[in-house]
Amino acid sequence: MSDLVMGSDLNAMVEAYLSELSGALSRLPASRRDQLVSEIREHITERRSERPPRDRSDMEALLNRVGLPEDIAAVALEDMEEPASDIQSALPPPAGPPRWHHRFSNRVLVGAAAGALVLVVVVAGIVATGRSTSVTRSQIVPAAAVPRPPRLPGQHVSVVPVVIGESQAAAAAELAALGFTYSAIDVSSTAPAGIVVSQSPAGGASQPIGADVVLTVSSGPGSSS
Amino acid sequence: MQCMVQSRAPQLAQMRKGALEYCVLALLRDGERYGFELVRELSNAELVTSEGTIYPLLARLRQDGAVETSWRESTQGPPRRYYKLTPEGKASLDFFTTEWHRFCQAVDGLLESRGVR
Repeated sequence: MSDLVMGSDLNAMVEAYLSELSGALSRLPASRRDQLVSEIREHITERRSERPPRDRSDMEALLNRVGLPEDIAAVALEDMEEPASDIQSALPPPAGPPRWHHRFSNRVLVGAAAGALVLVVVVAGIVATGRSTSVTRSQIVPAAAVPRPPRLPGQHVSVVPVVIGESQAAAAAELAALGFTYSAIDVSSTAPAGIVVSQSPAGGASQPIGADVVLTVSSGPGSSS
Repeated sequence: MQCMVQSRAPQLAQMRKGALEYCVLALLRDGERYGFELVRELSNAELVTSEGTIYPLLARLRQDGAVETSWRESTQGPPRRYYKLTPEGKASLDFFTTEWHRFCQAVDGLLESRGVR
């Protein structure tokens, strides 16, 4: 195949990809969709100029790195969907790996996922905390300051309250009132003894009634085992 | 005592997303950058696997007011959209940084002692 023919073949792959992306984004407002598609187009152009793909399989690898259109669409459509308070969202996902594992072999992900697992678990708590309260090292928001929806009769899911900064007893009572159980782990911390320093799931998460919330409770400074 | 933390796939996805936001903000701490630069850095650090997913994330950060953008001419190719940290974004990053270190310490303590009680 001549370079010219190959070039147009590769261009056609990019266009097919972008048109699939545009289709996956059909629920976005047109202006946002067009902007996103043109950003991804730019991205692909930049990647191509860095290391020009020589053949179809090079180009496929490049597009694999850009990602599946539906994955990009999923992130883009997130803002459009309100955090669901329905039961559906609290149910575990269907078993099995995400589809793109089948379609795209992504070597990076496997390594990164394993490596990032611990890191990522840690971040979640922080992110959720940062989003839902203004707790900092020196400032603890009283429980009453955070409004919470009451538990309704016949409800199957409930929203986990933010209990960071509360005493273990207060947190326990609050969780029980909302239908949750809890487990406590003691850890030495600069926070006063008996104060909840982290929780999982984070406050704001919808969980089935009866779910266990793990609380990390300060045993005070310097009293580690 | 029961202390089992289940790993839940949708939560993992949420966490990854949550962490990424702040990694993006951190990359902007020292000055403006354009989208592709950001994605390349995150990709090199193996923090992102589907590079394209960063663009909707950037759009959201902009909507949230954590970053602002401006167009700049490029010496090669079309103009580029540059991203810059806003004071709100900086405050958010500072908060995260403090909490992150504190949290790491707590979790490290736990992981190293393998269950205190």
